[in-house]
Amino acid sequence: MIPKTIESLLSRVAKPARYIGGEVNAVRKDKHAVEVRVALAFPDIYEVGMSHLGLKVLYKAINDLPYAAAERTFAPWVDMASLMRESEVKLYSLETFSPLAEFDVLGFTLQYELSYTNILWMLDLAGIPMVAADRQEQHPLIIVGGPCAYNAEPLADFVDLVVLGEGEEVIADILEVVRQGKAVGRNRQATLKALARIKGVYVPSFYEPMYNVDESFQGLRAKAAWLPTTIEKRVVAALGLENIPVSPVLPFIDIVHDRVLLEIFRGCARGCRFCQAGMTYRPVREFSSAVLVDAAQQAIRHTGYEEISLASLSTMDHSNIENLVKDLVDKFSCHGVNISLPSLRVDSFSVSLAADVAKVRKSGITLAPEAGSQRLRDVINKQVTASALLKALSGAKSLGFRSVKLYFMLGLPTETYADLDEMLALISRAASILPLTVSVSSFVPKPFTPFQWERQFSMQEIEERQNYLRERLRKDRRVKFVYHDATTSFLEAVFSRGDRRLGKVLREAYRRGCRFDAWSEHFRFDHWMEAFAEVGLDAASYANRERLFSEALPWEHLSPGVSKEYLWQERLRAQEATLTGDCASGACEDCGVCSAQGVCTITERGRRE
Amino acid sequence: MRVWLKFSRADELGYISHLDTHRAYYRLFRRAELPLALSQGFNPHPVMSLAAPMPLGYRSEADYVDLTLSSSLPLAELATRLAQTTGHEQFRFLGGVVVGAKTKPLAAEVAWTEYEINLPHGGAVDEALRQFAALENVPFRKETKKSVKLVDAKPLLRRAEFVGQKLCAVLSSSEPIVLRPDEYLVLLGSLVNETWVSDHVVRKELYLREKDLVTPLERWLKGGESLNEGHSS
Repeated sequence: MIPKTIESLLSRVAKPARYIGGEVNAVRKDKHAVEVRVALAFPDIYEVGMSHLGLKVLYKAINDLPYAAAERTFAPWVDMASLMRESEVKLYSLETFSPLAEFDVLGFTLQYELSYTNILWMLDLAGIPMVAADRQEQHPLIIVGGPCAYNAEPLADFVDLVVLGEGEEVIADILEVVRQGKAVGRNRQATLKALARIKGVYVPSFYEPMYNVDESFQGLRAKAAWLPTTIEKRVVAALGLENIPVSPVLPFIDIVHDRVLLEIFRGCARGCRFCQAGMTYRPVREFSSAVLVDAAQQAIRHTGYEEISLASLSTMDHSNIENLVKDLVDKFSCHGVNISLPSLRVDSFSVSLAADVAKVRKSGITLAPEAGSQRLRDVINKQVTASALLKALSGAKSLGFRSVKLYFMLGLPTETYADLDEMLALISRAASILPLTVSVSSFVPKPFTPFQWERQFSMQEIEERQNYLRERLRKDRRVKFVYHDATTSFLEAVFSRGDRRLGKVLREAYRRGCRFDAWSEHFRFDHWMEAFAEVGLDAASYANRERLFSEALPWEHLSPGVSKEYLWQERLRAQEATLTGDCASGACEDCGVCSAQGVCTITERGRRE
Repeated sequence: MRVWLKFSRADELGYISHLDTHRAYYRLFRRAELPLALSQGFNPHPVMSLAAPMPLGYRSEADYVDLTLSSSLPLAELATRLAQTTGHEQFRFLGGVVVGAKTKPLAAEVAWTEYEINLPHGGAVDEALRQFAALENVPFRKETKKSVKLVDAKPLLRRAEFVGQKLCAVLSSSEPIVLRPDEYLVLLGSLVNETWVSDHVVRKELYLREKDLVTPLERWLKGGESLNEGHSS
């Protein structure tokens, strides 16, 4: 039952079902009967957070432990948040309507940098001190994980621990320590010490950043000798049915991805040099088709969903994709269940497979050549040619697709206006085949990629290049041109490679009202710039400055397994526009992850030791 | 085979919209593995409809689904399958009837809705009801998104009584003029210069476009197969 205090707010907010829980497959354990309680927090609204596969995986992994319970919580939209403040309702979990402050562990996922202020906001709404050092014995441990955890330094002041890698592999180790700690009455510091010994766990407060006299970052010093100097990620060695959430919580309201998300493999070894996920989720580990078909049947039985989406970093690269798709279509089409392929490779095979499964009208497909010229595609190791793209488009047209969306990135390392001219030429040729939407985002250098040393072009340079393209595409009625705001990409670049000093900026921006920064209607760039000025940090020096190989980087105490030498070598090859192969189908490129982690690539064809 | 099914919704499910409710029923039926008939065409969808939309925040003890099955299924078997399905506690099956294949869609047949309107600060409700009954016609400004027009509310009410704190009223819920409980309260209040706000409205029953108040299940009770209301899963 919804408590009266909460219920009285519901008639006054938009989409009240965001706040009521009670969905099919939600797990409501007796809070007195479990030993460890975890609230999984997604720092965005319900519809976004509920679409996230990682949340479903962790929710299952924790609730499968008999002694633990996982509940969910999301950022309330601003209307609900102000009513909650007014009536002194603290942020609560959707399963048992418990205030978040009651939990043993509060875990936030770090999916994108622009969600950081929402974490502070949710802590604030929960009545939990935002700064880790201010928290008392009774407060929950604040844990973060997810892609941005590979550089969590900007959040170091606020979190108690950072988890690297695949959460379901490490969460039981963490919760076991918390459980024992509670049983023997261990204090917070002692619990953190015990947790810091777990592989994959980083406790920021046990480390101290050092800066040079010119204020550049010098390195991170462990405060005790026993602490690991490098924190390695955790990774599931081989994936099976137990890693698939076959009973996901079924929302009442329409969410962003309202369908079965069937993860078909983890990792991607294509080696696109801008892509952080491609480096950090290695090695490639496929689920077998037999497991996937079984999981799909269970998921449909438990949810009643009418669509299964095959999720992964590059779905078409599953080594048995054609048979898998055929099996799923055979099993489900008579039951009115559609199969969808969200990420297509730029080739004719992908397009024809997409056409085969498209039960709905073949309205459009999305392809991502990423860069306009062959030279620049070679720089980023995106192994796509213009002729393959045009052939795929012709194929799409003959198969009945009516429009195409093309993704490009602007401001990639070494990009010149000659590359933009080639992009325009390619767009023009593509538009002669099918009507286009051209979506252009801006390159954001990410830690643990070969481009982690690169500068991001200044906002002015980016805007000039956006205008250059827009001017030249304006008259072409076959092309719809959309692009991302340069300011949001700039801020992402600042935080993606930021250091611990940015924590002060976050607090200052939050104090000035910044939240939901990923939502354009709430993004206040002026407030962010005021926050930088107030703290006395130069945002541009984070985003627009090239790093040296000899320079200490604020994230180097963390490791996804891919070696720095490999990343540097890849950077050199990028500058020479030399390609690197995919180890899942070709030779080992010695990126280092398998030896560092003691794991190997697993495809349906076998293991590659 | 076509059936009309009656459900009672759990309290908190008053906070989901008509479209979301429709989808929730659809997925409930899929989980129950009912033999759903699918429409033809590019994007097959189940042949089903919900009888009447309801404002967000109201409770419903009378959701009606008009559903077409691809093969015949005894209603007792349908009830058993629903009872074994996750989520059936939230959409509790109350009863159903088999209807003729050519029957008009239930949504088009429903004309009246019975509401139970809780009024914690009642005041002169009885007096307002008496005045309403005594008037030959009751002028009422009906506001829609597009316009405001003056209508007679008298024929929009079939029955009303006030017992305890609860005002029970059968109001028109079909075009051309729908009278919503909140509008009805404003209207009643204006007769005695009072303002009432309900903290709790429950939809109790739906009635068909007939001379007497006949529920969808009652119409088909005489002939064919049925599972009586009160059947509990």
